Amino acid sequence: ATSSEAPEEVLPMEGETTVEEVPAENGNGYDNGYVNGEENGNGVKPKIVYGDYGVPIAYVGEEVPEEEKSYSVYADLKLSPRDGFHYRAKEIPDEYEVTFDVKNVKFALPKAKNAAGKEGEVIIKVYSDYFRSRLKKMRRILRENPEIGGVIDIAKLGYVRGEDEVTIIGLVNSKRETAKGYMFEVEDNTGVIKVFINRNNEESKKFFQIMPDAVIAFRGRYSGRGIFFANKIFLPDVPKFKREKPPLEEKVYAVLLSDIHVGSNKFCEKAFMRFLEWLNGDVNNKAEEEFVSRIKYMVIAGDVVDGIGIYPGQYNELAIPDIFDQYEALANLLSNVPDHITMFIGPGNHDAARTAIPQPGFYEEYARPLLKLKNAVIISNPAVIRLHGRDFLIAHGRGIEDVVNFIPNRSHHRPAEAMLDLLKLRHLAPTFGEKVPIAPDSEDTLVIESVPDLFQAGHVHVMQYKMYNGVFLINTGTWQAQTEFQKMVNIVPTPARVPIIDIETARLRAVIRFDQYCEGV
Amino acid sequence: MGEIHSPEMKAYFESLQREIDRAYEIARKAREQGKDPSLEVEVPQATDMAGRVESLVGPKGVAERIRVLVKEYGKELAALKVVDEIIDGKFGDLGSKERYAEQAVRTALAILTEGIVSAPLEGIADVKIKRNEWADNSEYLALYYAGPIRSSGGTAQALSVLVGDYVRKKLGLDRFKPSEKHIERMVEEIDLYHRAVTRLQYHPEADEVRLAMKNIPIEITGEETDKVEVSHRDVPGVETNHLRGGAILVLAEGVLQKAKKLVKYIDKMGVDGWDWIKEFVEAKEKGKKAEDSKPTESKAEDFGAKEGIEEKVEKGFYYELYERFRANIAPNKKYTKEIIGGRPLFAEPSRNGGFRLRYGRSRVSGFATWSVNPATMLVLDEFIAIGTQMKTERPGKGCIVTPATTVEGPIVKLKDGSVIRVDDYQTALRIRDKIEEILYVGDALVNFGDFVENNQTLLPANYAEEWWIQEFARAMAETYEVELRPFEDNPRDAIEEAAEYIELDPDFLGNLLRDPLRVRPSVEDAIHISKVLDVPLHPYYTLYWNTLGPEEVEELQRALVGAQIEWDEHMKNKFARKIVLENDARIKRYLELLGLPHRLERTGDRKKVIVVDYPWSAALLTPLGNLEWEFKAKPFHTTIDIINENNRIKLRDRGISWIGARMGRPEKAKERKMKPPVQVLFPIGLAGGSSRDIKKAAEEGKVTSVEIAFFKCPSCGHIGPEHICPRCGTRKELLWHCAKCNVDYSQDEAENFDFRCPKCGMELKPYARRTIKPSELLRAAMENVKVYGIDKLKGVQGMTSGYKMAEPLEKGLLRAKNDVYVFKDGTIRFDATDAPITHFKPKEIGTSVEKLRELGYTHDFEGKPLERDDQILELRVQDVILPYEAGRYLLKVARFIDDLLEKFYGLPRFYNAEKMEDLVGHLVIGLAPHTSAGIIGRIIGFSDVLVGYAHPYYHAAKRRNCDGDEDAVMLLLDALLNFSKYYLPEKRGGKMDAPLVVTTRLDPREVDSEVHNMDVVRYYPLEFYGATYEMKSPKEIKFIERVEDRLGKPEMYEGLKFTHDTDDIGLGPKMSLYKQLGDMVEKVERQLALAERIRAVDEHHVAETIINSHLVPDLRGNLRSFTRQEFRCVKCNTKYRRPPLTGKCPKCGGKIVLTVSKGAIEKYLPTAKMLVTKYSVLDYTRQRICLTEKDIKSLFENVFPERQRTLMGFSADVCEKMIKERTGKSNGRNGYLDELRANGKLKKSAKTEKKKESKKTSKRSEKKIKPSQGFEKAVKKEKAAMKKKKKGISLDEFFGS
Repeated sequence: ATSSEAPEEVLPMEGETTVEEVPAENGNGYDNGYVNGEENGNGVKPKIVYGDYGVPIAYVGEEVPEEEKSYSVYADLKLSPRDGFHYRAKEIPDEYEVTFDVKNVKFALPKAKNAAGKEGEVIIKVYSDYFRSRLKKMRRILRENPEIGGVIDIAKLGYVRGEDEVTIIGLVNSKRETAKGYMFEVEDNTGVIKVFINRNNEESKKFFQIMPDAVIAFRGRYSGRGIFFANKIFLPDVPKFKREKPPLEEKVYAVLLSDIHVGSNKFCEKAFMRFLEWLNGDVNNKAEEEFVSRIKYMVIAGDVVDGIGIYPGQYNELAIPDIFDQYEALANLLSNVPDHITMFIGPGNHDAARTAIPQPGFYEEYARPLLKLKNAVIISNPAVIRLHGRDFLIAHGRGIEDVVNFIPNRSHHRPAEAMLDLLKLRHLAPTFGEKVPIAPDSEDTLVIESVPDLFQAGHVHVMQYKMYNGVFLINTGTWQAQTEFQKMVNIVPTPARVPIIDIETARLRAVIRFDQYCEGV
Repeated sequence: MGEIHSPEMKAYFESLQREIDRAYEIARKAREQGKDPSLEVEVPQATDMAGRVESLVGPKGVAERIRVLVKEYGKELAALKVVDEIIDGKFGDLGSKERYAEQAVRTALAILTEGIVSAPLEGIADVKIKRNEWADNSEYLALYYAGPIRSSGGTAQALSVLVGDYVRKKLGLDRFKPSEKHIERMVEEIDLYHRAVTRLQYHPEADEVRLAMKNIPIEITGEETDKVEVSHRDVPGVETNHLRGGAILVLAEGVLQKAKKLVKYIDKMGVDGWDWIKEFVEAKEKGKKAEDSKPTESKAEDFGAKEGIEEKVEKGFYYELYERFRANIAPNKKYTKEIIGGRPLFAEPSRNGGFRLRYGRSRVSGFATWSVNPATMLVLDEFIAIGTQMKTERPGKGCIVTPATTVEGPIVKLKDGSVIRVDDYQTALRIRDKIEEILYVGDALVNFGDFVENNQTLLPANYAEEWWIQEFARAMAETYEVELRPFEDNPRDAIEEAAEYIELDPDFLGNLLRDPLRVRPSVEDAIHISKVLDVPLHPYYTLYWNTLGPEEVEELQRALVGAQIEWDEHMKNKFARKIVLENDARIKRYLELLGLPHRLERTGDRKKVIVVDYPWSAALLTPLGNLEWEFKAKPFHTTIDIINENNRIKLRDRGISWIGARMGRPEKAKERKMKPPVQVLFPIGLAGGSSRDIKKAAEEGKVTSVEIAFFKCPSCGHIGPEHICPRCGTRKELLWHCAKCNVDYSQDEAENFDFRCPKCGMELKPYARRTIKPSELLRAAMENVKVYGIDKLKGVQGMTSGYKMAEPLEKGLLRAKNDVYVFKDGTIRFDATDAPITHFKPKEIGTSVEKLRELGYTHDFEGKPLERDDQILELRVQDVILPYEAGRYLLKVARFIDDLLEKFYGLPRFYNAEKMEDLVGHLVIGLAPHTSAGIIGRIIGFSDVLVGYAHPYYHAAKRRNCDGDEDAVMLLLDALLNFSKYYLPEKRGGKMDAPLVVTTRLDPREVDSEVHNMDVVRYYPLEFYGATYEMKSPKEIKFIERVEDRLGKPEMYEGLKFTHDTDDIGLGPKMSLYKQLGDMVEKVERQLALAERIRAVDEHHVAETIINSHLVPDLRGNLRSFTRQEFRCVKCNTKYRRPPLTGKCPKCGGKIVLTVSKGAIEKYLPTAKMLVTKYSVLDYTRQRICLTEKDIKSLFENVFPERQRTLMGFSADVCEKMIKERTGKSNGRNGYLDELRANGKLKKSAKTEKKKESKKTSKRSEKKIKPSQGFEKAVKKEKAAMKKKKKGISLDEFFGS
């Protein structure tokens, strides 16, 4: 039978019907958040939920198994440094500082007009404050560029003579290609304007790098007819040259990790254990011995566990279907990292943490074993840590999803390029309303306010690195072998590779591979 | 070919045609006045498929050819012959090759789909000739499929590809030579579609897709249907990077799923170059066989006489039957994987105590409809009403429910401990509030035809009266050589002879034979009959013996030995009159599980005893030989096996096959209103406010600018939206417009310029943005029809049709006056769930015997003259019985039509209907969504239900079955007067659900073939019941007549039979409880309360599934969409991807609001929390809910900060408790932990034990805990707690709760 009921017809008219602020409940609450979709024969449209990378998944009945899973939380794993192994790093004094952490930001609270206040109004206010704060921070960054001058408000363009060149700075609401060039809609605190740039202008190529809601400066002339003709486009970008930092007396290394996914049945358990043994001095050669000896820091950029209920049907792909035990297992593993190595651990979208970014940290009550690790420092997503005077920007990297979607020629398989796009826009997730969920905070803490020496992200499970204007960009891959889901969406992860960073140069020293211990690679 | 209808049917069709002609004549007169977009009636008649095809897709003149060709070659081959003729130019020059190809494909597909569905129009977006640019640059054919191709069904979809290839060859085009990119793109798309949009019925392997893509000689592509992006982007020649739903369906559910059928057609149609698909099918079959080989072997075993090659174990007959049953037919859990809040699960898959399978078809079932006893509907808390859809375990996926009083109702245990069988509605009403447990849900009458349709292996039949009576009759014939026939009046002398042999009252015997479902022998007679004839005990007195294990019966027997029994005797047969037993909990439970009615009584010493009264005392003790032999458990024997070995009177099992089901969607019967409702298709922009009120706009004197078609008077030059000049009465001409140059052109001018602007070359539009003055237009219209006092006149904001022609405001005024609403195509619709009916009684439909005689119903279904209103009549195939709601609404519509005729067209009134009954005899059009061809129906009465009862053929003519589908009726004259293609939206699918053509005469051969499987017999023969014990395939059953067997003969229209009667087709709840309940909390509470009551349902499973399939996706989905939501201006309704920086709408300064509120995210959280608190669910599920709660809180932590509660120790909150448990940070153990222990898992051992128990014995032992009690209260409390922003905790709280 064709499954359908006579559709509730929608008024024929342009645009859409009036929507109530709270969508009318039709008895099942399935009004919003799904992609089209034929109904499933219940008279209820199937709810579309989203898997990793924002890929939509229609809900499928999950069969709840009768038996409980049995699993280990690695309680018995107890490694200790190899007898007589010399850790040079132990003798080097600690020099680290978390210079930016979302937890430390005091968000201004909107004043509720009347105590009960309308929640919706407050939230709207907070979201507009969020974007205003972005504009403010970005203006500061753009003004550091000596080429940018004569900045005026959009509302004041009318007072400018047609032949005068001026600069406007605003959020790009939208952009599109036209017959002769490219058209943007740009908004600042004072108004909205259309900005046009001719195709023949070399500058117009920047069109493709601009993500919606990024803050961009345009220099050009105002036509008087509501269109600003730009001849130059400035992305916030980072300066071409970077001030040299004083050299360090001695080599000291950091290892960068992300996306461990403990609890997943695809977690490369053996490889990770092997890595831990390696850190404990079980090395293959002299060169490795030297590395291990000087590793003083470890950074983990999110998705430390696989989490529960992250995507539909996850239960079946979990070795540890229990969030408490996942963190217990992770903590048990990490307790084998030698004590002198300081670990910086931040959350990702699989963790027990706020689902929207920024993520201030882990939920204390669920991730307690992690928080109890002696040599661990919990950082937010994003965070900046300063190691021996070098700034490391650490983010989980969800913004990569939107870049891959928007900017031509970007791919999940080359995340460093997408990270570079973000760096040029000086924002970790510029676009609102696409794949990245952004929390209602009154201040935008996702702006890359100061230029880091190193920018680390994870999330897409592919290791790739790149150098740009003195900034080292690296996506640190994963410790999870390819999942069924990734197989379906054609994502090939590069698990169990450990990049070793020379802190002095903030660049890659070596990549140690453990993927031969990872099943399914 | 002989005559295909009897004289009566011929007269019937002729009378319909007379009425049709009368309506068309009136409509023609009205239309020719020129007040509508077209001067002609826009709903052409078609008598048959060929006519419909021509009306739907053309070309002109093709109908005649189709008739000839179909007769000669059959449908499929005719489609190709038509392709030949179109391409040969026999129907005129179409211009380009592409247009030839397009016409050929559309017409062929229309033929293949009987000219009913809109797929040939809407499912094929385009046909193009493209080049293999990436290969040899040769030309190939590309078919662009769109979403509506779905409506044509898999086989026709597959055939359309074949036709495409035929056309390609005919036009001399090369093959499509897909590159690797094309192939991989399709592989990804099919997969993505399956995951992200809709489950495909058939989800092909990647390699299957690759094979098909490489070999299909034309390109299957299409337009984007879903906003889901693919990762294989920018493939040459593929225009979109989104999913192409139409193409995906055609490839997966068409070509690949129907490959086997396709092969048949390839041979039949002689299309070459498709060998690959034959190989594909062969390879697949082989693979399947290899897989299947094992189970088929075990299937081959014959029951009764099995020869074990290995050691011979002696097994009981039923033991073995159960074994084979279990080996061959596994419970199908699919329908239980999703349970929606408020739509209960009635029975777990194949669970004892669920729906008892009863084979048969009632007057109102079959064709994916089940009948149940109305008492079952009541006992299931009225969640099932007449017409409510159920999702079922088998034979099909779904059905709707109708009443049948001759099947068994539920067996329930009341709160006072007594057990009763509830077979009638009155009893059900009396006891519905006293039910403690539903031991047996009751019968589900499922027709054999549905087993054929779904190719469902026959399940062993449960013993029932229709089987017993045949065994009885057979025994009479064998023992005494008296031929008796069940289900009919037997000759008196035969009856008397038989009665004498078996010492029964002849009158009673006659009644018993005629109506064995209602007439039953007394228990002593039943015993007597079984003894003398050696037939099994009458099913009514047979208990559910095999629900109990032999050991349990042993125990029961021991208890009975010690019981007080009053004995009696009848014809030398001893039987028990009364049994009094000690009230032992286990023994009582055994009696309950047997389904044995009994009660509790207080004795003198205030002790409670179990009392089993007559006739149940005899029903219990007779099979146990009145305790004269000892029941002893025996390995490999079921209880019944042991009884049959030892007892004189044998038993057949009445409870072998059980079917599970849950509620699907509720029944529906409601007028169709658009959202917001519309009374006239006239654009008003924003001037009418949010309800688009033209009256209001007129009163406020507003002037508004809308896109609308204007007409110019050729004689006086008047310009306006009316078709007739208000000044001089001339029919005006459409103005064409160039938006760029802002110039109007007349029709002639426009034609001369080939509809392009002579100045700028832009395409001319038939409409323009023009200023209108609602007040002037409305005043004129009011004058015209003399309607002044209306409150509102709801228009539309803008038109979506291609021409944007507005309806005359007069029509709106008259609609407003009569309180009716219009649909996008100008017609007025009433929607109802489809329900089948083949026979009715005059009293059921409120139509007098006289009136029915007038309508041609002169005899009842047994051929007796119609005299009384309780005789059963066979329904004529195009007659419909509408719900009261429809009657009331159509009455208003009839008044509107009369007003319209009189005041607008100046013609005489037509219906003059004052009450519903006056509509009897009038014609309607039935039309289903996704189709474009209506079918004429005749109203013969009304029923107080919320479904549209009509002949199964009638529904099949609309391409519906009755598994919960719904569709519309409209008054014929309304459609003829008011429907216009010019109103139809231009977008894809706009032509669906519009009466583009109407079938006047129903031919069962041209309807959806699913109905051909419906069986039409009076009863299923004994042979059938034997076959069910062998679990035969329904295809092997040749001796039950189905519609298919009658096609092409007059009998296809008449003389259909049914097996189970019902007292009244309207007996039962009218409206599902689901529709009467308020919010989700209430729904879930009631749903779980019912789950706790039904023995065949595990409420913990229900709770868990509701969370997983409904609440969690909602919570997570809303949480996600909140942080990615759009923002909206309340004033001008502009949408913003993010809030404007100023917080105000930059366009109009209006207030900006959220489209997803905080409340929307939190809505179901309290319900979910209560579910995980009160029910035993997986830890995983509980953690998921607790994490979600935390996620919501943390999302707003910087907006609405919440201070930590200081005292955590004594919280009863399930999440806090869990955290405390797991992190070991318990502030001292207290009572709450024990409560957690009862529900939660922490105590793994406790839970596993419980699970084991629930798995093995299910609800065998009485359940006592009813977590649903106080559920709603608890949720409210939880809600309040969420609202309250706790700032620490008060002393009261500390010491109090």
